Amino acid sequence: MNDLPKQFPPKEVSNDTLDAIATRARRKFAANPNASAGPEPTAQRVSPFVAAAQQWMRGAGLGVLDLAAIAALLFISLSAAWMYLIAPSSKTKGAEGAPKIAHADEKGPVEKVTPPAPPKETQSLHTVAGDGPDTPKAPDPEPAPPQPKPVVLPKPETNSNALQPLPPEDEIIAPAHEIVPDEAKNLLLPNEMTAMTGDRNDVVADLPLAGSGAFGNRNGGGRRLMAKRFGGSKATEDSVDLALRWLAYHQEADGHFDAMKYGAANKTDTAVTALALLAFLGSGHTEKVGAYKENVKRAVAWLKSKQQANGLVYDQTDAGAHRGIGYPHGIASLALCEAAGMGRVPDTVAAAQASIDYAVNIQQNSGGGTRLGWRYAANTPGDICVSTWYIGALKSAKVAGLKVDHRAFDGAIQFLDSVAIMKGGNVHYAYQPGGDNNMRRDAMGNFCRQFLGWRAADLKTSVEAFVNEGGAPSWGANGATVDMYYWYYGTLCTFQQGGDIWQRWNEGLKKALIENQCKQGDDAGSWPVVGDFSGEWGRVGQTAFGALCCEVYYRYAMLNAPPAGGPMMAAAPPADPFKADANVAQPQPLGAKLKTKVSFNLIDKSLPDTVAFLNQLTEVKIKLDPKVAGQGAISLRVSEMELDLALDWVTKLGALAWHEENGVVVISTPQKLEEKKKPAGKDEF
Amino acid sequence: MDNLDSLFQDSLKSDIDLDAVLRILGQELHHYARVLAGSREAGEDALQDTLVALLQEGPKAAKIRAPRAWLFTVLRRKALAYRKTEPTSLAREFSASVNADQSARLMLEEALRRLTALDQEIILLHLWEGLTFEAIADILVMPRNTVLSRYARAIQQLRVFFDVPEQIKKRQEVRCS
Repeated sequence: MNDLPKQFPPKEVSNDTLDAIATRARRKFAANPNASAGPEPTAQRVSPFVAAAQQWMRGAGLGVLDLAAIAALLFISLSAAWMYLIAPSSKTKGAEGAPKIAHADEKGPVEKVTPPAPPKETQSLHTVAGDGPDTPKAPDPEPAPPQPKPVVLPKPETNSNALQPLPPEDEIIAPAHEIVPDEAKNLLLPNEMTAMTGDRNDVVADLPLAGSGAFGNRNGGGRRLMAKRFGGSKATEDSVDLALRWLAYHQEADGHFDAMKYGAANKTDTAVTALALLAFLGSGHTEKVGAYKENVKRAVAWLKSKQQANGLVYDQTDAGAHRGIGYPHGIASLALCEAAGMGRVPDTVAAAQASIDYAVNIQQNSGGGTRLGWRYAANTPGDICVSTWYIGALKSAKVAGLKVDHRAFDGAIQFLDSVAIMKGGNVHYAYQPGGDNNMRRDAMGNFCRQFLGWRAADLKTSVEAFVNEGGAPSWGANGATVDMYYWYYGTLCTFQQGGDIWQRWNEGLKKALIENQCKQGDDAGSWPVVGDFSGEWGRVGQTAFGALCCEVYYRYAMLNAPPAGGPMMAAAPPADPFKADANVAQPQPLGAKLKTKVSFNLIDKSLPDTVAFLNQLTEVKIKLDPKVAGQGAISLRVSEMELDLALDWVTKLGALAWHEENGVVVISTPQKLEEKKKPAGKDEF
Repeated sequence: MDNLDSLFQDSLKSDIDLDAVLRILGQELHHYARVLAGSREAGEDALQDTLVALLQEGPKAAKIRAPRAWLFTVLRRKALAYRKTEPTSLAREFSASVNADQSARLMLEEALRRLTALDQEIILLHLWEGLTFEAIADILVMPRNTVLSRYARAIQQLRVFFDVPEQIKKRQEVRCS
């Protein structure tokens, strides 16, 4: 939609006009420096009393802040006078009818005063973090009965094979009264978490990551409901529980996870610790609530201990030569932002803010010029794999209420545009500009687009294309076809897309992960280290990815969710009659082809490029008159529009026209087409 | 922006350089004033008054935190005051001020007419004048989140309008009439 100004640029005003305005202004000011200029605006009309006060303030050299300070001092003095001089005397007189305030050293009967309802922000926090009807609306005047504490799994000293039975589900999920701790009540969640709908270029608009507030679907009834609604099952929930138990048992005492101890080829402790933390957070465990809150606390503390003064989160003993700081900091930043958004612990919020500031500072061209992506080292040409972690981190930071420079989002969009390539009528994503795509990169690119506000309808064909190319998750013999990295992003992306493609993916995902999760021994709950890139993160990373995939139903809100109570999957689209014709190999008439629905987004495309694109997109053959090839650039977005109408728009924007000629669409100038029509005599009487 | 900041800082030494200010922001200010005031003449008067107000600030101009937003705020107040004398359609002025052919202008006017005046102004300030949401919130004296949500809603409405195929639009118009 930001293409609008390009299509409708403002008329320019000449410099002479502007100079004349400046000259007139100077003259008017010189003639009477204190005269008010122009008609008196309503906003400036003030009462004589206020005007006199303003004049006095100006004379005394006082500003608004000074006045506020004076007012505050006056208020405090009066309050003190009332408390110590007037109030005691009124008490002794016994003001009848007025309720007395209970005082510790006051004797005699006193009327109990019902505490006021909590302020608005406290209520909204309850609503956000609680679970609906169970959440207390106001503090209870009676002392609350002691609540059962959530069960915390003890951390064994060694990696024991003897697994303890899982606690009952009701105990894993924190009681409602613990969800909003006292120290968090003064913290407000950002308003923008609620109602924004995304626009391609309006990246600062926040799409909620969870339906009932920031990350609110991850625990309590919301979690069960979402799992049920979007295709999860008891088996997927059990799988998550087992995975988290494995992670909890294999966390080191200081909170980090040792990647090489469990099968990683390189020391990547920062990244795998952050991945494991994400898995805990994804299931609703925070620094304050949940059965694994101690594990979360320790992981967060370890990441914070590795944070440097400039905000970088990176363990210096990690294999620095192996992919640099790009991945570790990106994943750690994402984890810290989610931990900050969920736990609201001030220290964690500060650490997350510092980490996201650092992420913004190391974006390519952050020093000047067009910002783009991220890679292994600071300010180097980005790649889609590293950039995707950072885009996720930026988005989570925004939702967690942290400050994020909007230019970082703009840069991320620029980067995605730079790696987008057109193949077979669908958008794919290369590793770096000029490179080639694969299904993993396509999944990442589409996921980023979804989080940056693109609509599902605009991404449908692109998502379907990568799933068709890469396939839905399938374990294969001895894990031959395992690709956890692809599955992770494919899961996030197809979940957001919804409909048939998600149904297909979800069936494969559940089968592949649940059937192949280790069930016995020390490995119970983890996934084996097999498949592409699994050596990068070992068993810890593999298990974290597996858990994150199984948490997809509630981890982030489905942006294109069907209405509550409605079917989980979108209804199958009606059969396309024209496709049915194609199946029996009958040639379609041009008129029918022109009624094909198309969706595309062209930005500053030349006419030949536009025509080439349309030829690729549809079965209609479109020819462009070579004489008009250099005419203008086209910026146009259409969604599910019939091709003939789309052609009307394209030609209208290029001040051209089109017509059918021997089964081919010809685009030329209106005059030329008119001339061609005349000999046929169709328009003549 | 840095240039504008330094120009405002220079007001400590001498009168602010209006020509330089207009070189940086003249096009945007003129366009905004014209649309908001309802005519080219009124818009130019409003702009002139804004510049006078800037000169009247004298050395205090150096203390202005966000010069761009300050100029737009003052200009808005002046332009609205002129506009009160002769109410006009913001959508019409808006579409008349763009450089496009007649049919495109009519289409734009029709799309904008469906938005509220406030939404039109937010769209104008963000898309055409390139102001950030923070600056718009300052100018319109409302919370940034309100600006954001109004903008998103307005964009959605514009998108629906521009995405509806022409035939359907025509059909709707026939029904309405």
